[in-house]
Amino acid sequence: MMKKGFVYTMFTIVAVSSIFLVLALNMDKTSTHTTKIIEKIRADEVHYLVEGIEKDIKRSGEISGRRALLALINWEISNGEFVNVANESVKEAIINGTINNGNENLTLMENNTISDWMQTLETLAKKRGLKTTILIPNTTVSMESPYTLRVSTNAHIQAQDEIIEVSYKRNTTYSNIVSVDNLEDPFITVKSYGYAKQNFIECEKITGIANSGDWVYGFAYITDENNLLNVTDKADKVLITGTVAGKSNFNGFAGIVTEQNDAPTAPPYVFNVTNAKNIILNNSIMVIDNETVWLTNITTQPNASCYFNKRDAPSFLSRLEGKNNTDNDLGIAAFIHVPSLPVEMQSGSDTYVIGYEYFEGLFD
Amino acid sequence: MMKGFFFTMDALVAITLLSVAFGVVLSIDTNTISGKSNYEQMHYVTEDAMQIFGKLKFSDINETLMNSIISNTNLTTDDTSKSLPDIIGLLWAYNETSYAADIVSDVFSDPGQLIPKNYDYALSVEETDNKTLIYSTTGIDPKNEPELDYLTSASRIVSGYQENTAPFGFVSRAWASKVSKNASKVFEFNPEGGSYDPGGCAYINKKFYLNATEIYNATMHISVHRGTSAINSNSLVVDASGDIIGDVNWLYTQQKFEAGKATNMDFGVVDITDYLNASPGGWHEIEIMLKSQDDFNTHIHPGTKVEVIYGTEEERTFTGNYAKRKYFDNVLSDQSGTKKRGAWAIMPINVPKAATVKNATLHLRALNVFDAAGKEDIQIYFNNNSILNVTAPGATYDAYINLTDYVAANKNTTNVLSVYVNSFENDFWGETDAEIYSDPENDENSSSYVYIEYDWSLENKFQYGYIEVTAIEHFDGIDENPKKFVEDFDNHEITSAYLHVAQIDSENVTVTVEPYDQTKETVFISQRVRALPSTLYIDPTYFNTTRENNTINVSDICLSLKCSVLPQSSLEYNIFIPSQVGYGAMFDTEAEANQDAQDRLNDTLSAYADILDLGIYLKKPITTGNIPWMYGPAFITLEVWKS
Repeated sequence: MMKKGFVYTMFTIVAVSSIFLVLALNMDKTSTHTTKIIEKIRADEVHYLVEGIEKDIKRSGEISGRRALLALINWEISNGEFVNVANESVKEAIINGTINNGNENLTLMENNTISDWMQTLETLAKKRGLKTTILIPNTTVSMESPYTLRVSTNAHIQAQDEIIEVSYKRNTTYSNIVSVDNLEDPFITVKSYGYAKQNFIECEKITGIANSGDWVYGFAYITDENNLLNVTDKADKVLITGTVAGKSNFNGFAGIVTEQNDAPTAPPYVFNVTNAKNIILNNSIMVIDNETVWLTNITTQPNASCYFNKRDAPSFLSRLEGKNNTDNDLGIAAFIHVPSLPVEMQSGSDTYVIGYEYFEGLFD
Repeated sequence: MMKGFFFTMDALVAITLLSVAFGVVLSIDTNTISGKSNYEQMHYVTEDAMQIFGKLKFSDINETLMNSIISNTNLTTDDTSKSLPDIIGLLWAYNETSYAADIVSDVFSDPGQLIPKNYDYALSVEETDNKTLIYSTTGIDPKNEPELDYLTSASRIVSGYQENTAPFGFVSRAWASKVSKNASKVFEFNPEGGSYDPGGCAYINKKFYLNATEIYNATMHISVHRGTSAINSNSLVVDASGDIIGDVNWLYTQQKFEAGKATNMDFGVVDITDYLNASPGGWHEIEIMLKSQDDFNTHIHPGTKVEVIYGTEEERTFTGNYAKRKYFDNVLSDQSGTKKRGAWAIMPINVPKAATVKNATLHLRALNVFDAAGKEDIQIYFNNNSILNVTAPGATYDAYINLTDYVAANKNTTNVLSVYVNSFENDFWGETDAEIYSDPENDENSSSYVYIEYDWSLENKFQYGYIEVTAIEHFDGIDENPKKFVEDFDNHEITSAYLHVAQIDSENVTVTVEPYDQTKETVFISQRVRALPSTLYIDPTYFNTTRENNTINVSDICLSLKCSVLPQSSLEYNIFIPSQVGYGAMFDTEAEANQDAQDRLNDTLSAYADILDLGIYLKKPITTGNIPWMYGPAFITLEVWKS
């Protein structure tokens, strides 16, 4: 009997000890789990910071891109000079806010460069115990369209939690489309010694369907008269009419724009331009560019000029370099009012001339 | 008894085990375990909410709220595609944080409910040194919450925004240009004259063209040498004025006695504005008639001129290269019988140093030329070089004389072309009414003129970022000989300078320039008697513009009277002044940016206020909008807690 009691007691001790052991093991696991939660949260913070940087670096590129163009233009019109390599100068301005390989600061880029953005970000992140490193090994600048640039950037982003030693890296490539809208044209300003100034404002335009594939310009001559024999100075005019069918003596015009579809004509033409007679301002200078009709709304009085596409004209980047031609088809041009210039700069008999062509040969 | 002992021991062991077990169970903190699990859950809720918030666009929120924000703030329909963090940034920048709070509440609470109701939260914008609370469910920043068990946060970066500052703005620059509608011109009478024996008359007739809509001011300075006895018989006619010689205010009068005979040298001024303004646009004519005296020809002295300020709608004409005729005045020497007479005139010729002279030709038409035996009745000098002498010229002499080589060899200085008909200096021998013929209005091709044509790069006339302005400084003081004039050019860069000498009498004049601390240089010496033009060109290199005390000295070797140089003499010079300022700070409105640009330009021009009338220079701004600023980055932080 004594033995049975002893066995029961021992059994009880073993059973209870086992229960205690299990409980003790569980308590340790909870403590480890808490540490892992903290690390997870910090790791999430690092991850989302990198993700946020990746999203926002593009925004900073938009801002610094637009300001870089303004800063370069300001440098050119203040000094009366052009940059040597435009796309490299834009890139240098965006990243460092300098020009001529760091020899000169661009005042309008102060506190507005990508580098400034990175520095502020580092300070913000540091307040949360995070360290950020952003490297930009490569940026390219090119014309995207006649009135926009594409700035493409590779960025290496790294964020690090210095406490728990978690680090997150990401490589990203992003592009910004930077508009030149309403910026001053430095080519015109510098070439005219500051006497002519124009902002890059795109002209209104309408399009047709059938076209002769030409580029011409002239003063709009809106009429539906059938016999155009007595129209003077046809070579300086673009006929705007409903249709040329049934009309005579329309050869000799600089170009023809009709609202209906017509048979091809000898003069350059655009047909099927809806409501052309109502939209186009009579006696205004207009440009036919393949299927596009550019409307300058310039008549005989001095008026704010606007830009239209002209493939062989200098593009925006070419204008930054002071060149009067382009190596792509993204050239733009505008008319200038010659009588508004000083007497010594006036040449020829035309009141309006294409700006870049006029100034390029002015002092030859 | 042994059984009771074992039972008691049994009970004691059991109680001991139960006590230990109970104590172990009591030591387990269930709140810690569940609290840590809640914190993790809260963190995920926070991050998830922020993720969704970051992907939502302005157009995804309550439409009524969106429209209200567009109607009442600077946001527009163009902003509907922007992400909500950007919208919060924009509203924060525009100081419209109440609307930002409405968006936060709409998304995280009702109806969005991204944060469960059992949590509190707050959204703020955090810069490097500032934090702005946008919204808090408890109304206060969580860091100020008195009872807060757990707090978690999630952040997103936004760039381009700063509190109470528009994210886009305007920048302007400005430049100054001359008001083109007001023009000024000076029409000069160079020394010229005729007649000789008493009773004769010299008629000097000048025609000039003005493309004017109105004459604001026209003043004539007249410096003459004429007979004393017939002094009241002279005349001055301006257009249809009739004789107005009596209106001349004679400021200086001097008599010259030679061989017992008296002549008068007089300098005066007269306002002829009204006469010219009777028909401002078109040709104008001024005729001076002077009576001669014994043994002395009557003539114009240096300083005779008409200064006109006028309004114009002038259509500009092409001036690619310089090609211009300078017409002589018509000079008629009128006498009776065989009394001696003749006509003479001088004309200055100046060509810029950088010019390439293509053509310089004198066309001389002289009428009623007397053929005196043994005399060179037509004599032409280029400075002191005799370039033409004609004996037996015929009553009408008409010739073209090539001056190209002479002019090309003497650029950047004032050359004097002298034409003598039946005379030379004080020697007159003609017995007919000789005339140097000129009528540019009606008979330009037959008139006497000098034609100058040269190529000159227009780039020499322009300096980028600068405009050329003209300063005129009068000598002032008293009439004296010699007369010094001292000028401090304030370190301005002079592009050209002209000296206008006015004298009561003139014989042989020397003009020197002595810059500060440098050697005196002679810039002009009369080659002959009365061969001082009304305008002398002085190359700017003669001056030291960085220092004061550039002294111009005008002296005449007059053998008889003083030949005073008058205070009405003047120095006219052109300088380039900076005419523009670049783009400046960013402003919220175009008007503010324009005003800033014009203020900066005014500051730049104020350094030249001593020679500028700022009111006549039009300042034009050019503005560019939609310019962003690299504000930030900032954190938009969502904090979630449970009290």
